[in-house]
Amino acid sequence: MSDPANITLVTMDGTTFTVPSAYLHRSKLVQDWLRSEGDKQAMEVKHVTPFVLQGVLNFCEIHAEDTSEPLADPADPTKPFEADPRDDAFRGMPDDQLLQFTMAADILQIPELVRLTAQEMASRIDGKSPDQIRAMFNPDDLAEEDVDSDNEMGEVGEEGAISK
Amino acid sequence: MFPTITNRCRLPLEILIEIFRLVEQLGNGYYDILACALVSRDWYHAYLLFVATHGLCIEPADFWEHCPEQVWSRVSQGRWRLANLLFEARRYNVDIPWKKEELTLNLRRIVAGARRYDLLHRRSRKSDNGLKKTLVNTRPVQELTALIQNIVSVKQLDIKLKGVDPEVFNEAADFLRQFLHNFRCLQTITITGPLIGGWPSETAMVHPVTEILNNNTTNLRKINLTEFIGDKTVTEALRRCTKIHTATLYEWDGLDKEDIAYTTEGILRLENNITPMRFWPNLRMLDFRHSKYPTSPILDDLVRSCPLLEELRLGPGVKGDEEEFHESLYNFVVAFGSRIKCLDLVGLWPVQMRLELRTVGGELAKDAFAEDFPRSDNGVAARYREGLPGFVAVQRLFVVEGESRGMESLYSRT
Repeated sequence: MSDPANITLVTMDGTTFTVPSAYLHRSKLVQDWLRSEGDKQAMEVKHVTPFVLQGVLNFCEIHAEDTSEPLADPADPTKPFEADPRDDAFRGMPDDQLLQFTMAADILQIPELVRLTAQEMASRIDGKSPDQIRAMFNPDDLAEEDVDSDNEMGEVGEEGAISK
Repeated sequence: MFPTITNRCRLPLEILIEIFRLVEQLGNGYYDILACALVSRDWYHAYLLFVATHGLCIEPADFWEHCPEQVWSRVSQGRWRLANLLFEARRYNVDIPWKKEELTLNLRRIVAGARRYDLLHRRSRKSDNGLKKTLVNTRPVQELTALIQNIVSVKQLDIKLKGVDPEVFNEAADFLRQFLHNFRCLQTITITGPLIGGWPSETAMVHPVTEILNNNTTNLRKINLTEFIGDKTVTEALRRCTKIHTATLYEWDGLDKEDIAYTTEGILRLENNITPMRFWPNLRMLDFRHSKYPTSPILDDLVRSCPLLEELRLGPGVKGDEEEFHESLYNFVVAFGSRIKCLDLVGLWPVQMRLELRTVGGELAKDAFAEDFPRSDNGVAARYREGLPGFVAVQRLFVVEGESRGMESLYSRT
């Protein structure tokens, strides 16, 4: 039985991080896990590297004592984004790390961090060409199995939905 | 937080959409979104969803200027269709605010999809031995359902009937019936293509178009029934659409059988069939091309019932008495030409070439087409100006080559 005051996270390579549960009260994934499987020893966070998880936990620690209501959705229009000087470290990180943090924030379901990283990505994308964006964030190249033929996909999307 | 709808280690679509939303608020707005669309296939998918849900145009006019071929090929290969993306998004309960208001339905394909038929598609890829046929639209009908459900209030509905028989039409109508509440705000309806064999005149079935029209008479502004064959119930439903200001009844077939085409009975039925126009006081544009020759009472009735009518497009009828028509037209022009601003007589008006008289009574504005025929257009224009006092207000007149008979008869009368 794990200590209810602390939570242990295990990254993809087996590295463990033990942090107070209160740090992660904005992570819906962790909250759901605590409710359903809180009696287990450690929570596995696959697809997240130790470096990135450390960064995410730093963010959570900085914002652990924030009293604002947790966001339900990063795109919540009722709560406009406000830059927080405590997050400057996240804004200054290299492009590839920013991408990884965005994905980690999505995996852990922390809307505040998603909003921060998405905002930063948007400001970096602004005014760039497709090739520049590609060089910055290097989305994966097409994998063979992902290439669907038109035969399978059909035509309704064109005729059935879009009037150009 | 949205669930992740891609299982790969890439940014999920909903995060990309959120990034696009933020990008749009910065600097160049939409052009940055276009740049994002061309980054990779995932990003293009997100772009498709983004533009669809924000009411933007997928390919704006200058899209290709911003889209070099090699960049386009990067995202276009194996791309998903919007319908698939929406279907995926709904499957994972991703909440996408939908702002699109147009819906184009090809009934033949819908039904083919519902029945999982394999249809041969005409827009085929070329192969070594000519055209290679590809199989399309074996899509399950629930995807289409998801698609329509996303459009909360359809404002424009296009239905293509070409190659559909009445039975299939009914089947498709059954499918559409569940979405009638989505069509309540309909402003434009376009129904094109004849049913195979026409709508059976002695049937107890309610014409599906009647059903759609009956639900949407209050907001309907534009109607386009090209090559459409209706019945009495459609006519009655049309009469209730009093706000129509633009009507295209191209190749409108009011008559069921050719053998009564221009008998007294035929004319009577034709006159009855265009009665909906009498109930459209706001009508400004009427396209009546390739319908039967309208007779004098029809034209007369039309202008009296529609005081705002400014644009009238007539055309060569497939049946009818040409002489009588020209007589009617002459009377019509003399009586009402002062009100009509655009009169399209392409194929009807027997002159040597197309002319455009922008200001009758003033200088003839030569357009590029007229420039090619500098020798004769002035003469023809002058004859129109001098010979047709009724044309004083006509600003745009379209005529095209034909036999000279009608022109001469018109000219000789003045």
